[in-house]
Amino acid sequence: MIKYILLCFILILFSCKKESFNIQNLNGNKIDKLGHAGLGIGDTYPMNSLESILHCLSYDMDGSEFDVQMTKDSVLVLYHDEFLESKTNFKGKINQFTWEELKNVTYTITPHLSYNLVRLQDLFDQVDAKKHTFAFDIKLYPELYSNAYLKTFSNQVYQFISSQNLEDKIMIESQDTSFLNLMEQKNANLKTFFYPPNFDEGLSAILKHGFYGITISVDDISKEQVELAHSNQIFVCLWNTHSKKLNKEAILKNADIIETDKVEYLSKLIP
Amino acid sequence: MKILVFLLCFPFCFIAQTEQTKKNSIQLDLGGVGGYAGLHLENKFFQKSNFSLNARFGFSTYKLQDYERKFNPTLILPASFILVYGKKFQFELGTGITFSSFVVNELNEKQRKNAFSLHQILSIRLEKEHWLYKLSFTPMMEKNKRFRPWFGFTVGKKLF
Repeated sequence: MIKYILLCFILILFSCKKESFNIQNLNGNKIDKLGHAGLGIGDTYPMNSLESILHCLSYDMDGSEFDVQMTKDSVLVLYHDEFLESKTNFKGKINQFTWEELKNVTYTITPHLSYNLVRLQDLFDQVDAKKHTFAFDIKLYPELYSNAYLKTFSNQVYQFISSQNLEDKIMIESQDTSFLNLMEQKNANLKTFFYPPNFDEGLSAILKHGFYGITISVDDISKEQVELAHSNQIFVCLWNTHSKKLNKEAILKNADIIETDKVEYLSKLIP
Repeated sequence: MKILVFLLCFPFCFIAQTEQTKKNSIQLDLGGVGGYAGLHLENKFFQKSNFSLNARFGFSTYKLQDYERKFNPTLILPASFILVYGKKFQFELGTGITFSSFVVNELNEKQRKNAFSLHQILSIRLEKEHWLYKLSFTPMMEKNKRFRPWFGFTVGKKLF
């Protein structure tokens, strides 16, 4: 009987053992944990809503990524899709309307619930931004965007960041090298992350333009490619971590930053 | 002695019911008028030959905590009236209203927001012994006149 109890005790002890990882990266061998537009895909809070991001920050997370677009009157708004009708009760594109026209727009993706579209300023009015890291995923959706449009957008983003003294806390992600170059011209110390179609193109562009890092799906990069990026002093941000397995995979690949859809899980998995 | 036996059996004359006479059921929805899932009680309050009128009240929730992780649940409370036709294999046509209450961040403050929506029910229903099964089309008309086509699958157990 005593042997049986002892065996059970030993089994319980070892089953509760916390998983540990030997992380080797450019980020002081620790991984910054960011939510993917808040709590990520699949939550009843819409991605990029204030409630989703605040809920993410209530966990032991370093911050959150979110999608940034610009209205017709140059207000920065958090929204992912090209068209408003895919997730809200409005129709058209963000850049076709002023904020006054968009301020009552609500998300309608979950039955019986509605949450407001939110400005970037509304989020930062509620968080102690210096305690977190935020990633701005810049969405450029006009049919044809001109240099003037890019310049206005980059001016608005930089004005916002500098007004909050957050130059070292914000990551700027974009698929457009011109936009990232415009940001770097304003401040060479900004953390610019290129979002490429594949790793090889990404590496080439980053080395050419001198960007800070690469942001890429965990499925589109190998551990060896992460090592190659690190050997070139390029920070690696991995996303599309929508399962426990993919979160672990991102850690084992030695990412510097993970943007996760499993916020609660990742917040407990690594310190 | 005969009187004693009769008195002992007497209460059971009232308690014993056939499956046909059980008027109440508890039902679990996947999808349906509660959104993603729901638990409902249904009562058959009127019956004439193969027609019956049922009232159905339910409860659903998406979250028990708010965005600050404090206990502050989302409440979704549907109520419906349903016309049922058939014996073992039945058709349902119903309508109802859903009350929802959920926590939002508005003007930098935590607030509880309430809303009503209308729903319709069109179902096929199979009753087998203690159990019932339903496949439903449950479209909703939500705030801002948004029409949402929706579906549900139900498993229920007949009670008293």
